[in-house]
Amino acid sequence: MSSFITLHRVTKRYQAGQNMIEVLYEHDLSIEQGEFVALMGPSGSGKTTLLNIIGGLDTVEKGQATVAGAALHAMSNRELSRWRSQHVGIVFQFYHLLSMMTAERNVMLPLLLTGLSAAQCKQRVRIVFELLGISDYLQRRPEELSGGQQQRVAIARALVTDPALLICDEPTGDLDRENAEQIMQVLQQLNREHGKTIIMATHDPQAAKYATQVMLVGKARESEAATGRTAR
Amino acid sequence: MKYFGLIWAQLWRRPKRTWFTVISIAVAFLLFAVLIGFNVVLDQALAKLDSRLFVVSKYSQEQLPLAYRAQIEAVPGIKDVSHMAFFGGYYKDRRFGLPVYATDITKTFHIYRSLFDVPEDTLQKMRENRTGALVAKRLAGAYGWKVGDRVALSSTIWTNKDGTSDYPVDIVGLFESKDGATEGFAGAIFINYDYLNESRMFLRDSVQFFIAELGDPKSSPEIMSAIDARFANSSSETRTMTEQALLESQMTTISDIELLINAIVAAAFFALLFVTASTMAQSVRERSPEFAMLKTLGFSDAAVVALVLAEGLLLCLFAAVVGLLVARVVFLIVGNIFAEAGIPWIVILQSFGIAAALALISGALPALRAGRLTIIQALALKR
Repeated sequence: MSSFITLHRVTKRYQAGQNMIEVLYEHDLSIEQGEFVALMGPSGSGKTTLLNIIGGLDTVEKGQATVAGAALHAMSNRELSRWRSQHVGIVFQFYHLLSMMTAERNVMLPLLLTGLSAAQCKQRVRIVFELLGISDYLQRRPEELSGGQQQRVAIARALVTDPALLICDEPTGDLDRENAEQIMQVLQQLNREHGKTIIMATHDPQAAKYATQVMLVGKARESEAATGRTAR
Repeated sequence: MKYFGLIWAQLWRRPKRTWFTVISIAVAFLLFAVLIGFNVVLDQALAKLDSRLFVVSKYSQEQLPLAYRAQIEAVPGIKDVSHMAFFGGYYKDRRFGLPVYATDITKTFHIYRSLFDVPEDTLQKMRENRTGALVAKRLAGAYGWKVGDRVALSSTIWTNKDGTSDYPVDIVGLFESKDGATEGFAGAIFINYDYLNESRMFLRDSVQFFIAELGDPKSSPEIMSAIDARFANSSSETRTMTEQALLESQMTTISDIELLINAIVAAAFFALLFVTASTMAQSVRERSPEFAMLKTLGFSDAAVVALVLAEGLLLCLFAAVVGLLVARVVFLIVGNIFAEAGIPWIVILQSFGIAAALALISGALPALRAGRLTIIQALALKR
């Protein structure tokens, strides 16, 4: 039986000035549904590239990427967009909330692409806010929220379409320790109690402790292989 | 409609810049509405004037003998004839002229019955009162006059037999145009020709022009030739034209100016195209990470292109509405021919058409740029 996420001999290169940087070379990876995986490794090791490929934000140059039964490597841009809107929630280090909209309107954005009515959208948003314990923030704009509060709103936005997969790129990278802990507890709860599969890239060993498994990427792979399962 | 909130919010991301852009575009539409609106209202007014002929002197400004009236009436195809003399009127301050015409009230208002609805008893009062005056309601309102008032009109042209320029009149009635127009005769004062003719010191029994009503407007070319032929080689040769042609000839200079101003408005819109395009390009560049974020949520490239174009469209339409509203206020303040007619629908539709074209042309490149953004590169900009 195939895994929920399978990368098979994936190669990805980027143009950097005159040079081509090979970030991933014939990379393999497999993750089962319901896992909470922390990808760790030094900067430039390919953590974010892996996340981007798994989340359908970027395409593979060679190899195959299959997520939740969908062959991402064979999809067009338009198909990837539709797939993302239905299957993936993405949380960034810098939240990327729209500053001129309230938290409620920010979280409602992914629902614009669904066939839900305005009332249904509002209902969905309120449920997610209640789930994350942030109902007080509904009508606040991002500038009125702390970093930790903004990140929770960003998590709400990722969750509102009820995706099976959450992609988190350094979700605590811009937060102090206390807020980082709170965010990680939220992610852990989503994984344990709601069965979300979470793939998180992080530099923070404290954050990685919340994951069910740690995968080491790139150069770090050799030296820290003992701490968890590694991506090959 | 469900995207409206997103588009509107994006539009006001930088309120100052948006307002400056709105003001720039609105000023162009204000100019457009005022100038083109003037043209359209003028054309519409002229189009209504095809069943009447004006007989004036072949030589500009010269008077015609009142006796011509009977001969004009005798021309086949002529239904009715009236005459008019310019009064050159003012009230108290000669710097502010008034459109005062001395005429055969009964005939004139009969010829213009399709435009003005003056009750017979009011016309009767004019006939009975030598110094009577019929005043446009709007003009009376502006001066605070009412029926029964005696108004001390003066003339810049005609010296009274008593050596003054004063011609006191008694207002016996007010009138207004049926179609709400306030230009030309619809904004004038009419006094009895006999009052002026008997009081003035010189050029008695002369008129500025005759107005002839045609039985059949289609026959106007033959009738015009017949009238002018009748007075050919006389001491006062005539030139007959339709009312529309007369007004158009008087408007030739204005038309030239309009042409020039139209060109200026066109140039302004052309320049505006670059201003709007530049503003939109800058706005899209600054928001690259936001568009990338929308794409991560599942918005397709085409959807992002549509969002940017819709944003430009909303901006330009909003600015056009602001410009048109200000134009409407300007018309009300100026209180001239637009005041009651309002901005013609054709100008409003043209404005929205231009706004849409402006948005689509100026927004095309920035929208394509936003559509082509790759998520990875755009999000890297934020880091």
